[in-house]
Amino acid sequence: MTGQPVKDPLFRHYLARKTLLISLVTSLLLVVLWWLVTAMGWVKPLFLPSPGQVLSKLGELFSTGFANATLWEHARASLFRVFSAFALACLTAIPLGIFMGIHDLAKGILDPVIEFYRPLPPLAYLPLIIIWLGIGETAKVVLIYLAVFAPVCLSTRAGVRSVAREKILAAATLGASRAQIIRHIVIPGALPEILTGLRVGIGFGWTTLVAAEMVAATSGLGFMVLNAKDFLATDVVLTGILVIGGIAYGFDMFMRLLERWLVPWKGQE
Amino acid sequence: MSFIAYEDVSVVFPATGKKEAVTALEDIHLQLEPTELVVVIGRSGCGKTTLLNLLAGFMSPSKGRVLMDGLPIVGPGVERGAVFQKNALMPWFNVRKNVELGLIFQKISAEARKARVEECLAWVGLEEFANHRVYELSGGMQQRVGIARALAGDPRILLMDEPLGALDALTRETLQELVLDIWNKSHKLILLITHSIEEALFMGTKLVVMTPRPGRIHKVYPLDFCQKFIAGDDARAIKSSPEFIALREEIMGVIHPKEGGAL
Ligand SMILES: Nc1ncnc2c1ncn2[C@@H]1O[C@H](COP(=O)(O)OP(=O)(O)OP(=O)(O)O)[C@@H](O)[C@H]1O
Ligand SMILES: [Mg+2]
Repeated sequence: MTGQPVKDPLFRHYLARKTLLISLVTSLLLVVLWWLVTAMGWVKPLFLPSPGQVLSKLGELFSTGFANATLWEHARASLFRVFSAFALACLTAIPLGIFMGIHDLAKGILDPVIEFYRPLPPLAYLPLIIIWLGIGETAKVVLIYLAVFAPVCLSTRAGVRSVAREKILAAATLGASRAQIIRHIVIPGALPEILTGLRVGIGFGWTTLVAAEMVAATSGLGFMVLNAKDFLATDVVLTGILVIGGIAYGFDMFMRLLERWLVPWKGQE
Repeated sequence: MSFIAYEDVSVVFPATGKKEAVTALEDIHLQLEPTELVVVIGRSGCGKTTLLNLLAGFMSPSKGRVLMDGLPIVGPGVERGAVFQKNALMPWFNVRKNVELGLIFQKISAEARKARVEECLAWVGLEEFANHRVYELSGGMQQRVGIARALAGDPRILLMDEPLGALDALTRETLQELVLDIWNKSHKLILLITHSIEEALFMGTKLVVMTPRPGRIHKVYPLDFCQKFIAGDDARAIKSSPEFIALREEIMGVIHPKEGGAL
């Protein structure tokens, strides 16, 4: 017999295994429904192309492309924007979040700034960014970066705050310096929430992508979708949406794996 | 000069918002010597943790001084190891790394670290669990890890704030004997806080009884039950001896004037 974790009263383990099956069935049903409404002619192809149409469009987008670029080129442009913004956010938001968590001065300075811009829709400050940075790649990356920054920074700070006082005091009695406490106690202790912040952040990144590609873009998945709309190419719009969704979902899966590998103790204490 | 001296110490937590100021400790005078096993007992809220935190250097007194070798304590230090009730192990490290942590902080060579960690793990009986994650261990085993970690750096004082409070009776007795064994072999000063009168009487060489509001030291008793145990007497026999029971009733009367039972 192998050891099994004890089920908790909310059946959380139980659900985790069952939901996979439920999710698969739900997705399948949605596709069947989609196929049904198009095959029966209940909805015009202009409003909703059939699954087969979208699939063949996908192949076409890969080979011939749309708006002077193949699907891969569009995806590459968007991936570059989202992930360079994401990388920049990791490099800045995590250290600043840690700093905010351990230093009241840092919190005092950064808190009002972040809390003010965080609830704003990116479209509201996009014009300002264009005035400041022009319409090139920089403006696009900065817009996405700002969207990713806030959740990463705030959850890093919350993670730092969540580290038990006892752990820090214990480290102090063991002779740890400030730097050692941060490296061996605070950062690992905050890691579960940092990873959650990264997942939320990259989600905001994809959300903001389309806004960033509204202005003066010549490639990108968001641009492709917006451009296709002008030609009423609903199949391209739908394919673009599915590709963005697919990439975002795939990356989230990867982050969940990373979480299981990096913080296996999460929820165990 | 005493090893440790609390000189006229008071601790007042200032009023904040709607909360009134709390006098956690008042007029504390207490001397501790290098090889004592000092047990502190008293009702919840009488200032036991505050008393220990002062010695650990986690806080400073509002009035008076806490001295070690005649010098005021200004913060935590490696010569004062601590075992906490909970939450103090690092789940991101395995058992070995948890025990090793203090030695890493102090930049001890890898070889010396390895030898010392083996020694400490053997002392608490966890050699076989060195590579386990701490959350895979039982509560009693986790406390053993905490004790081994505090011992690894060979502190002069071991501070224990209800380290056995969350354990079942049997595990608790085993760990009481483990702590006595450690104390007997290492001759450190141990400051142990407990809610159990029986544990206090059985383990201490000196018993500090405190009363609340404001937290004061009611009386300090010298004890010798633990020496009898170390000399080979049976634990059950000690705990049921007339002297033990008489003292237990007396202290019960102080900290629980009306009702009986555990705190
Ligand atoms: N950080 C704090 N701020 C305000 N009041 C505090 C603080 N810490 C402790 N106190 C108060 O000081 C008093 C003594 O607290 P302390 O934790 O030392 O008691 P204790 O004897 O350890 O209690 P217990 O047995 O429940 O652990 C209590 O009345 C408590 O409410
Ligand atoms: Mg306490």
